[in-house]
Amino acid sequence: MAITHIGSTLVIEGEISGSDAVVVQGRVKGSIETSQGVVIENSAHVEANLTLDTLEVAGDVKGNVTAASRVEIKPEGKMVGDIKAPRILIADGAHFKGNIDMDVGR
Amino acid sequence: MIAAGTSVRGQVTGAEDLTVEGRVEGSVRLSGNLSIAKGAEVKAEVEVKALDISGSLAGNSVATESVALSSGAVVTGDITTPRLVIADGARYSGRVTMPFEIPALGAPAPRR
Repeated sequence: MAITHIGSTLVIEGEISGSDAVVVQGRVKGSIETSQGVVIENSAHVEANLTLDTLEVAGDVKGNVTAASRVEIKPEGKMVGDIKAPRILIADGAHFKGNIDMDVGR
Repeated sequence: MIAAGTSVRGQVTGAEDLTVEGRVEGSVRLSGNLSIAKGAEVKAEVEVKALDISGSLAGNSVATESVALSSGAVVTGDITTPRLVIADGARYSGRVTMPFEIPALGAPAPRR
């Protein structure tokens, strides 16, 4: 399966959708929707709502995330927004502000 | 230490580290660290230095140093802290507040 790769000098303003994995090194403003995984690399800056299977954040992300499987914020990752996923990991050193919903019964 | 067979209902305050293996309902305010062990059940507002959770916590927490949710932890409530770790296998629902900002995107050219 192919991987969509947004290089570090690319700026996308709009909607990205499909069924490939997506790796972002550049900038995206809008939305990303895929049935596969998305990796936001250290150089990346993303202002978007994200709907995907898995998400790894090592760059900057502003937006809400709905993941079918898993979200991981790496030590260098910074994120502001709400996360809904069955599995969510936040590494030591990561920055996060927002709502986390792992569907824990209240 | 609040041992596994012990329940506390009310306000807990202190200047030392505390480990809870039993139950606490009410509030916990410490200038030291709070550790909620596996099997422990805490339903409380928590204000401490560092908070380590392996058991269950329901309530809002403020930790001046750090919060760590270990595998097996079940946590509901809002968390305010400068440093947060959520391990794989921990379960959490709530709002997280950490003091930082992401700078605005260097405005790309507008569409049209």
